[in-house]
Amino acid sequence: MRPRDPPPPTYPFGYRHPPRSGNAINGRGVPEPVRARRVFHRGSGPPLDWDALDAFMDYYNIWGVVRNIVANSWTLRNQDGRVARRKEPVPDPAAMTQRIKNLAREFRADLVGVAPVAEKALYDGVPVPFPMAICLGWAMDREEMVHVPHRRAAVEVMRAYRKVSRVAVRLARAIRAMGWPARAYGNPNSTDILHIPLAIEAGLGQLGKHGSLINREHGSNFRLAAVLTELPLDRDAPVDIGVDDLCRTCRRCVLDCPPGAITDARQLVRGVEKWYVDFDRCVPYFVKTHGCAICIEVCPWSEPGRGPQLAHRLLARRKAPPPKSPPPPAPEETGSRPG
Amino acid sequence: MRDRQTRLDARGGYGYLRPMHTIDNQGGGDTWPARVVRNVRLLGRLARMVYAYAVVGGRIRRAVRRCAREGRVFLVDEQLPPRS
Repeated sequence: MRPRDPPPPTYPFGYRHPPRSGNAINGRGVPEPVRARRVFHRGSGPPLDWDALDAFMDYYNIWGVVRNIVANSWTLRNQDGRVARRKEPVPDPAAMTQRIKNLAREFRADLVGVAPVAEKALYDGVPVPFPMAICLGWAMDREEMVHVPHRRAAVEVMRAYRKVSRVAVRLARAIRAMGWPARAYGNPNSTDILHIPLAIEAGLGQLGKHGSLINREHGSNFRLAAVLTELPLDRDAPVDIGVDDLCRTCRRCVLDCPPGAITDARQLVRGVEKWYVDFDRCVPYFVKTHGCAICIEVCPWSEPGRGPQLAHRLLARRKAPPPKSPPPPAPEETGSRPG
Repeated sequence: MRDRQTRLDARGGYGYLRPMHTIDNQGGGDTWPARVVRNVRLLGRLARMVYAYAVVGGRIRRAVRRCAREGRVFLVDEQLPPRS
């Protein structure tokens, strides 16, 4: 798909005194592997550099988005809760992992994976609350998302967050009923955990050029939540579906990003070379269009049914022997003459 | 500017009520009375959120539209009301 007439990157709002670059706060160009710092959504902590734009977005949002934020907050009132006194023994973590995954699918999660909680998946200053994370994904309605960057798509994004939050809350409650502490994280503006690094570790997909997760079946057309718990579980392994192979040559998101926030080269961010989206260019457009999402919808992986074929082709190409180099041309063919 | 920033920092930043992104931790509520208190508090916060969106947000959205019509820029670091 291609976005229909996306608004131009000109803004009726701005700063008189522009804040420090979000890219600097995000650690672009920093060679040391340091933890991520909050830059835009601040939660209840002290004000951040980009606080004014974040606050502005709260008021500039459309009602459909706000309604879903309110409903999501109400759902998340049960993110914590009482843990049953009797702790269910877990002699076989693999069997328990399977049981939890089945439960998550029963609650209608489209994706589920398990990963250990590493410090790199938490914002700076946040202690590791629980050792294991159950990452959950909810596929968005493609019929609504093809309208990006329209308000229909913005509402669908928040609706998906609300739905996946509900799955996380129900799963956390089920784990607490087994006597194991668990907490649901479903707030899209969460200022505790970084969902994408966790989901990559849990094998839900790979990081794409557009800075979002790419899954084999759903592309980037899904939203994440997580349950962090002490329940002993077997971790899933990160997957390789060939995303890097395609992103190296594909330029769809680069060309279709109106503010030009996506670049062709991987960049050094907090000690790791990875795909990175220019924060300072992306966020004003994100605010203007109530969530944009053009890049994730134009991505070839997001086309329904195309992901598995792409992955199969890309991985097969990688396994195939390199093509034989043609024999060097005879001197007559090149027109050169020995001296 | 410095004074304004100090005042904003002291008040907790921009935004009239600024509750939209602040519901990360709502507390556990181990007993039913604690849960009732938590739910009532949350309902109050959500009601204030909707009120702020409708009333203050309405004013801001109208101001932004006016700025757009007149070819001016709505300055988020100056024209947004601080937290009351």
